[in-house]
Amino acid sequence: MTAPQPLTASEFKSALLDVVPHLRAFARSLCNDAVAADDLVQDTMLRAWKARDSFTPTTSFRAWTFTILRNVFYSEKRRSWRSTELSPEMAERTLVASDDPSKGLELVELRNALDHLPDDQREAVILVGAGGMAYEEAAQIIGCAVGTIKSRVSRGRKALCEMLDGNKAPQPLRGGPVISSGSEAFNDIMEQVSALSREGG
Amino acid sequence: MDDASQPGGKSSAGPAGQRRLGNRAIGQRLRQMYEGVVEESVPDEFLRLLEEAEATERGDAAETETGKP
Repeated sequence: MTAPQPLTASEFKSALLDVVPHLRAFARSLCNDAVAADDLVQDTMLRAWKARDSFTPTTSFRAWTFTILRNVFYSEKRRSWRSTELSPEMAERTLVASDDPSKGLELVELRNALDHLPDDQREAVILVGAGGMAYEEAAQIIGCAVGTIKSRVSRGRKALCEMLDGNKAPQPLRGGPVISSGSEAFNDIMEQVSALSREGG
Repeated sequence: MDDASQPGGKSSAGPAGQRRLGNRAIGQRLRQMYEGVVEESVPDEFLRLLEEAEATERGDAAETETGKP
């Protein structure tokens, strides 16, 4: 057998730990709930660990683990995590994580807008646009043609642009929420924003 | 490499001309959302999880060394 030498257990472990920040970022983009996202990552890690003999070093380790994470997410009941609007806790976390409050708000808007994309466009946009993956790598993870990914990313981006522009209506950003749908959750978030800015000074 | 995912350009992110978000601005926000999480420190529990899994396996392997399950 001249197959590439599989990783040793300790090599695998360190590769897996190296990819954890990316798994968390991917999971949190999918879930919109930080606790559920970390739960998903831990599940993914255990599955990856158990399946480590099936990893061939010729494939990208990140792509391999993302594939597992995605499978876990779409199987089971994980999908329902997504159906909830951005959790207030997540919105707060997103805001606080940014050193610039207006940037934080932009990110909350972005998460909200992502919520309104169809699943297939959302994940393509997350992998390529957010994760910086090559189309080929994203196609491998999702299990579809490269051309399909390209068109999903393109449509997804376009839809995001339209949503974040408030259906192209030229509203000033500071004047009010740019997101027109899902406004109930958005109002919650806006309340939190003002509460946070009061606390933070 | 043909997309706007490189964080290099800081063109349209200014507070003034932000009504129209181009692909580049969307790309920058997406990268920020993702990278923000990547840069967070990873809680110890993630490491512990793997170490426990490894330890459990070692224990199992020691017990069932002579036969496969």
